[in-house]
Amino acid sequence: MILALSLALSTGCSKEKMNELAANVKETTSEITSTAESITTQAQSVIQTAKEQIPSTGSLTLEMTPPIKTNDAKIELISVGDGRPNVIQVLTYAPESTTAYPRALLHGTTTAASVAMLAGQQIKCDLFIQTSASDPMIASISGSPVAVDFSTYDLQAGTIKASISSSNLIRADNQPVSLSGGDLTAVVVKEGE
Amino acid sequence: MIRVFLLVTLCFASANALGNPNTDKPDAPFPAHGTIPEASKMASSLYGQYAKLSADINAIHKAGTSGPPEKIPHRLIESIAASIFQGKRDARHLQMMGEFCAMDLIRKYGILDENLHLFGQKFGRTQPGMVQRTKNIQRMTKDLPKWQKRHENVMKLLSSGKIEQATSEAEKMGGERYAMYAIMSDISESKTWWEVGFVEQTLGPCDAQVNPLRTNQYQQAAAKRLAEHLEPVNSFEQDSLKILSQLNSGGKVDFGDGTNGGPVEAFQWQGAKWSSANTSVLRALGVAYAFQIQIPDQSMEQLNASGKKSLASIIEAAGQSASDTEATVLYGRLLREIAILNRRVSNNELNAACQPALDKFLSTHAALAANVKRYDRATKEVLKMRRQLAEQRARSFQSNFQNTASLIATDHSGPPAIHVAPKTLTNFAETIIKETASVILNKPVYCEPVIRLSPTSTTALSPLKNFHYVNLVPLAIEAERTALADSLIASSEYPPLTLEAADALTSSEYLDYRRAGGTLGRIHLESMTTRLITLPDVAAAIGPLGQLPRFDQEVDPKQAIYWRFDIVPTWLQNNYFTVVAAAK
Repeated sequence: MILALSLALSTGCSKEKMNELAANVKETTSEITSTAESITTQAQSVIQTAKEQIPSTGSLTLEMTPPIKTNDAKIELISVGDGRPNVIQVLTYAPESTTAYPRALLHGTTTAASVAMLAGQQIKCDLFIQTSASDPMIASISGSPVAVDFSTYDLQAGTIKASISSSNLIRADNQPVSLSGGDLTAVVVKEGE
Repeated sequence: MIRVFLLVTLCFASANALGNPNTDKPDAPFPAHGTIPEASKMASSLYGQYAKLSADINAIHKAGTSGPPEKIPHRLIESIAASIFQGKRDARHLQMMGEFCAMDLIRKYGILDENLHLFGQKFGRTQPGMVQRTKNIQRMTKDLPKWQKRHENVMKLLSSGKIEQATSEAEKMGGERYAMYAIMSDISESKTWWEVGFVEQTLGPCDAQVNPLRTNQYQQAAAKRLAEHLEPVNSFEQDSLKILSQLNSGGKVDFGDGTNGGPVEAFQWQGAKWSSANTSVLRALGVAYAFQIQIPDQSMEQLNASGKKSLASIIEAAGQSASDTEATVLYGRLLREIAILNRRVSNNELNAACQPALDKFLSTHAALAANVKRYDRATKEVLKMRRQLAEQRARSFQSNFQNTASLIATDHSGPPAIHVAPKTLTNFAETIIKETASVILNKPVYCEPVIRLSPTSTTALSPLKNFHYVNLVPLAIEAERTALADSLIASSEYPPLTLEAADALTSSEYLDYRRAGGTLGRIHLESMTTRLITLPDVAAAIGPLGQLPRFDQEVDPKQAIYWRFDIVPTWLQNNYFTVVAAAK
């Protein structure tokens, strides 16, 4: 643009033309400023997101031999909507994933209407663990679900914490497995996410 | 000598024993299917008489082996010879009536006959025996003119078309002479006289006419019976159209038997009709096998197609006529009915056939569709995990168990070490039962799938496959059923809202299983044709809906065996959990 202006001056153009060029320059400058602001906002957003992502994947630790630790845990309260109890479902993997191991599912029912309302409540959940695609699964014994005590609900972080009580589990090859406890930090998933 | 030895084990046959030969009663008779009505009475009479005759032969055998041959009771030999002669004839007659038990009776009367001659000849060669032989010859010579006259009478009856009467008269003559012949059948002149003088000249001409006559008569009767068995296939389609038209007009369905109901009842009624018609086609298959008539493949295909179509149409009609308020309850109840019946159909074909109608149902009820979507999300993953766990646990139980299908012989050449149960009646039923039992009884075995005869029945079975089926009493599973219902947030008020969940819950209620393992407690030997022809409606689950039981084409179906294996279960695999029997 500076080059265009100098060229116009050197070639001696009309006043109207000069004004038009000046307006163009002003507009372009404004665009540059706006883009720069936008970049700054985006950069700030990226920094903010990066800060939030540290706790937001959730985690599940199960104390057993060998211990299970996942860096992903999502909790969802599903209300079918026809009057039956609601379902609490904790997944440490994406259902369609074929590679995320170890993985665990906690599944229980509640009358609570939202995840936030679970804080301070104990929910009995069926627990299923897969350490790999080929190893025998480990699960709670049918009719003896594990106790999950929900504690802090963090609205800001969108997470809820829970501790898992010790329990006797069974491996698919019929060997007993002892669970001596566990900790859960789960990212709350809203319906349809 | 082997045959004589075998006789001892055969001599205690009880004619009144019920059912088929089994480990508790290896000598039980094979029941007749009675496609030709007089066959049942004839079979029962032959088995009854066999029990009596074998006791007599046993007495003769005992006298002939423990004392001097002179002491063999030749009067007893004379008195039972005619019955043995006639029994052999009647057993052959029974075979023309398509009866599997005829083969058993032919073998049984055959060994009676062998022993009759063996001990008759043994006595005949003794001093008193020689005296008796001479007396017999003198009597036969003296009776010759009378005999000739009787022969001419038989021929006359034959030429005047009274074939059955002629045959009956000839058999009477044969029976009388057989009594004398039994102690002298080792003399070549006597043998010639019997075989040429009587069998060729008198009985032979009768057989030449009576056998084709009977065969033709029985084939026609069987074809008529087969057509009657296939009749429900046609009436099924007509009934189905009537029901559908009533449903489409929005009212209650009148089932024409004094009962009426809505779409759910219509589905149940039509499902029961399908099952009943399917069983009837299996009976027709049995008749086709027994009389070598054309197998009703087309009827089964036709019924299978119309069965699935009619049920899907009921769902579609239900979806269109239901209000949004009714839709939720109706949808859940229909899913339940589909899931129950689908377990009787191969490869989830009923589910697949009904899916478009279910989709259509949901497309007209948006609120319900949203509920179903959320329900699926709430239960899909837990069902997947449960399914994988049950499969893995069952695999670990199963590792020391043998599939029941592998107990069946792979060829006819003899019993290899593991595959022992033959596919045809290769020997006396008693011998087959004992030989097979000695190898496979108390073995850990498993079968798949397991379907209870009815929701109230204590017995379940694993359907016909590779020449056998399995009977068992399923274990009680209340705790597992409750835990599963909790997982599925289901109760009588809130039924499952997906087909998979409905299958899971109803299978736990009905005690239907994917697999069952246990100890082989008892084995039964049944005729394939008789099993099929006499199949009661209550045992419909023995055959999958829409399929004719397939088997090795090299085996003559008339002679084929269906083994029934009774298992005492020690573990069971539902698709979504496993159960282990409590240790005793």
